[in-house]
This record gives sequence, C-alpha cells and structure tokens, in this order.
Amino acid sequence: MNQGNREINARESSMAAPSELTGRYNCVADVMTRKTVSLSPHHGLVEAVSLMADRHFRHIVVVDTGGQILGVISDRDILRTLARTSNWQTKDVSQIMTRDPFTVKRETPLSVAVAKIVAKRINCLPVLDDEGKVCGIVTSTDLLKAYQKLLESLQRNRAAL
Amino acid sequence: MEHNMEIAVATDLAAGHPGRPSSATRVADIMSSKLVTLSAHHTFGQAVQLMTNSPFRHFLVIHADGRLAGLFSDRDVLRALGRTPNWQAKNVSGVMTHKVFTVTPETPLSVAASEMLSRRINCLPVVGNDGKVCGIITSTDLLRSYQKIQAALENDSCGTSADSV
Repeated sequence: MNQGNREINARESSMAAPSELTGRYNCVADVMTRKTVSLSPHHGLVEAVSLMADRHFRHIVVVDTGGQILGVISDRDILRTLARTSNWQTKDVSQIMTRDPFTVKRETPLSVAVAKIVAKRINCLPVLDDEGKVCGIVTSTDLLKAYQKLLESLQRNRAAL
Repeated sequence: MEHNMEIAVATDLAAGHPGRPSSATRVADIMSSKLVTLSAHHTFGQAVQLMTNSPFRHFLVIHADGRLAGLFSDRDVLRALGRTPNWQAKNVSGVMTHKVFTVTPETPLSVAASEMLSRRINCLPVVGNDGKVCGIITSTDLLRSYQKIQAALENDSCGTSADSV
C-alpha cells in the first residue's frame, strides 16, 4: 500500500444565497458543492468504501494527476459491488467507476443540469472549469435544495399578493 | 403478517403528468399515482429480482387493505445484501423501513422537498384521507417539476454555454 499516492482531496464550500433580485438561482455555480472528494483510479475500492462509510456524501470523483476527470463512483456503485463481488477488497476504483461521466460547467443553466440528471437517471454531475479540471460537483440534492428555496420564495410572493 | 402484504412498485416512469407543470404547488400535482402491485408472497430474493429487472428505486410494501406497511429502497437492499449471507431466504420486512414519513396529496411541494432534504431520503409515500396509499413522490418527480419551472425562469440566465457540455 503506497500511502504517498493515496491523497484524498476536499475543498470547502457552501451554497450561496439566491439572487436578491430574483430570489432564485440561475446557473450551476450558484448551487454546486465545491467540496469534492476525489480519488485516483489506482486507489483500492477499500478506500472508497471507508471514505463513504462515515461521511455524508454519496459521490466520489476520480481524477488523474493533472486533475482531469476520469470517472465517478456513487454509493450505489459501491453497494452493488459489495453485494455481488465476494473479492471486492481486491478491486480498484478504476474497475467500478463510471467512465467519461456527463459533466457541466459553472455557467451551465440549472434547467440544463436538472434535465441531464433526470433524463440520464443519475444523481451527480461533476463541474469542470475552462481547463477541464474538476472544480465542483452538482448533485440532485443541491438541485432539490434550489427548488425548495424557489418554492418558498414563490409561496411568499403569492402570500404577498 | 407477511402473507397479506403486497409489494407495490412506484412507477416513477409514469410521472409524466401533463397537468399544470409550472404551477405545481402540491404533492397531488406531480406524484405518481400508478402503483404496480406484484406478488403477495415475497422474499428478499424476489425483491432483489424485481429490483434487478426494473428501473425503480423505491418500493412500497402495503397491507392487503391498502395501508402502508413499510418502504424499502435499492440502497436498503444493496446494503442488506452486503451483510446478509443467506439473504434469499429472508423476508422483505427484514430490510424495509417500518416507520415511514408520509405526506398527503395536499402537502405543499416545498414541505415535501424540505422533508426529503432534512431526512436525507428520496421518496415519500402519499397517503389519502382514508389512510390508504394513493401514490408516491420521489426526488425525481420534484426535479422534473423544477426543470420545467426553472427553464421558464431562465430568460435572464447567466450563460448560454450549456449546449457545449
């Protein structure tokens, strides 16, 4: 086990307040989670499992040394592997990740991000910057939060009329 | 109790309700009300089979009289598979959530969404006045509704580069 290569990255973030004027979010950058958890493809599945076991997230992005996206792993992928593979301890992240995942950019309109998540039956979209590096992740939970805030502001507007 | 339970499958594919998409405010506006009922006698093995062969992620277990008995998700099943050696013989009631938070058709969508978020769940059974299950609302139903209203609101959006991703 080469611990030196087993770096786990996490970046801080929180959802910004919706626009004062409109009371709503417009693009992915407004709601995305900047704190992503990433692994390298050669990490063992064991690491992915222990990472996910005691924390509150469901998606791990898999990146190369240059920060370019290679794939994503969800808790479902992991659970499925654990359930079906007796020798899962020997598996690598690269063997169970979803390769070439759908991605979005910071400025992608939220409606487009939602449409992708719904149509592709996925729950997360890595967010790439202009250089193609992962700068965040937008999940169905982030989007549901945005919808919930929108619904509340619509309710307030309706009540004010 | 097992023998008078039935598995109802939430047809989240059937959720393409035409009615009032952008003005959806209550659970009844977007819930899936078509529940497919399967075999009354079921084991965990059958549930796994069902899950493997269907696109659904949430399964309601209901009593013969239509009242809700419990709920289980694909995550619950997968988690149980990992730690249960002889899972084929077990009953579904062993993996399902018995105390389920439910909503009514009249529940505001904002409440349904915030309950899902705070409880970290993706599905709420909808129970009518008669105490019977009349539908299910999932996070996907909510997102589909969000997609419509958000697209309508995005005339002043922050960018147009979405087509390239």
